[in-house]
Amino acid sequence: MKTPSLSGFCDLVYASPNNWENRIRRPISLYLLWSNGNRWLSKKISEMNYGDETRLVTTDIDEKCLATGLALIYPSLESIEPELSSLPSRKVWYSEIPAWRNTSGFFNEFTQVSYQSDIEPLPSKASLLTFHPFIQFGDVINNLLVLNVTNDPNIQSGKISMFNSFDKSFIANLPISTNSLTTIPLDVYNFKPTDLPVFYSPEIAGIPFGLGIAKSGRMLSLEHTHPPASLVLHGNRRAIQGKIKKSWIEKLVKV
Amino acid sequence: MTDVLIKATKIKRRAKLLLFISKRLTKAPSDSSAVISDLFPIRNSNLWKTEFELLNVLGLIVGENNQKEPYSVKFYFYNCYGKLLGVREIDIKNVGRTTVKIADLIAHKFEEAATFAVFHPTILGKIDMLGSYLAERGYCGYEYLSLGVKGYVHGNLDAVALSNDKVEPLGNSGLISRYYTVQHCLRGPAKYEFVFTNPTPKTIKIIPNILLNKKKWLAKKSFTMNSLGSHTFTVDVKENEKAYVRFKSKLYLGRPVVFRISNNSMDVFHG
Repeated sequence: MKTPSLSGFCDLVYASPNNWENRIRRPISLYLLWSNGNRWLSKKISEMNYGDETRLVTTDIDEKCLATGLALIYPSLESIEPELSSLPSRKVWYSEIPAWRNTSGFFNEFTQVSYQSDIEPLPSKASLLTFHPFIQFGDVINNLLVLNVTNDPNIQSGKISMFNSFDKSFIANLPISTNSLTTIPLDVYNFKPTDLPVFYSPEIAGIPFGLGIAKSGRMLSLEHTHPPASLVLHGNRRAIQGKIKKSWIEKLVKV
Repeated sequence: MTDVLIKATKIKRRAKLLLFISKRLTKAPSDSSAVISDLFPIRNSNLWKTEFELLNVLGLIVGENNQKEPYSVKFYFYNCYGKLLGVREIDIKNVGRTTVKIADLIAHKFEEAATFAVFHPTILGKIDMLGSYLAERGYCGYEYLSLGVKGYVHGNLDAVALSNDKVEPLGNSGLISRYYTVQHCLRGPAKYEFVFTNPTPKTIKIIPNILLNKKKWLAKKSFTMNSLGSHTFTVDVKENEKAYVRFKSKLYLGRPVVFRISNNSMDVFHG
């Protein structure tokens, strides 16, 4: 992931999170995948054996591969064609309890911030509704990051709309794209500590993050916001999420 | 011979499935009016501050964050042994978001608090929840050395439920111990602090293992956590050293919150 003023990293560990599920031990090839808007392009970057770790940083990756702010790392047991019409479907590093993760994040000369990454492709057309409680105050730069990956290599443009969740007032429409990491500066909107912005995208789903950068550079903050389903547990969460989204979207769209 | 091996492997995998995923990570509360919360670690010292982003969860579920009817939220504080120290009730202000300073809530009374849970009022009767329960899965913000920016982390485990003022641990544990390898290569120079909470009704023993510079897994001194207790396991990694850690326990998901402290800064994330 690439965002202004910071370098991105991805720390890969070839070790399953538990000792009983998917005990894969074969050597794998690491591929870098990125979209040129028409096809997924791939490039083999290294190999890993079981127990290895490696760190990939954006400064070591050709700029053209990070033109959308995002390139994917895919561990593969087979060689991959240099051009693909959709992302590889085989899950190589995969487990369920817990899910197999790696660490992505950002760093600068002073510090780093980590996030337990791994992303499944999102539907090409889906909506996003999320609340953003991470805006900080003082000597800090606040950004919203929206990460989207779809199987389809096309880069579709869309918008994410920002509202105040309290009075549902409209704040702004902001551009986002599929197969991209979009960085949206938030400080221009002069939020107050009691404000909770809500973001709604009718056509592009994604994983939203709050990114805080101390103006001194000495502290970074990165965490994803939750989808509405995370407000409840057990039962029919999918249906509840549908109800929550419908209720909010009806009110926000009226605005 | 190959067929026999394949058959034996399949039987072994099925047996493991039965042993390891026969239950859910957490169970549903026994009372349909219950509300759920995580157990959030507290860092409170001259180096650390903890804040909690308190949202109107009920309002967010029903689609109305302008909460005209006043209501309160209960913060339950526990020490590291899982003992309930006390409860503080916070009136939800009619605003979008309230940042709660945990130090203010525990001052003078609950200063040994190691974790807290946040319980909202029941939503039963306000909306058809289709068998679901309102859940506070939080966002805790941790500030180190007054750096002016908090590192946020969401709730880790759907740990406890509250109904009729009774707290019920929801975490499941198994009969057989299993390893959880933290999926992060520890890089020095840094101090790593792994904060565990025990969401189960049982006492849980955890055996940490460390692999330093790809040499050999070394078992470290084990620790136990009472139900709703917590423990911090610390690893110092020197410059140019790399390490992995794994934890053996009967927890279904022995996943800690990880604090990485380095160069007078810190990074917090889920392990």
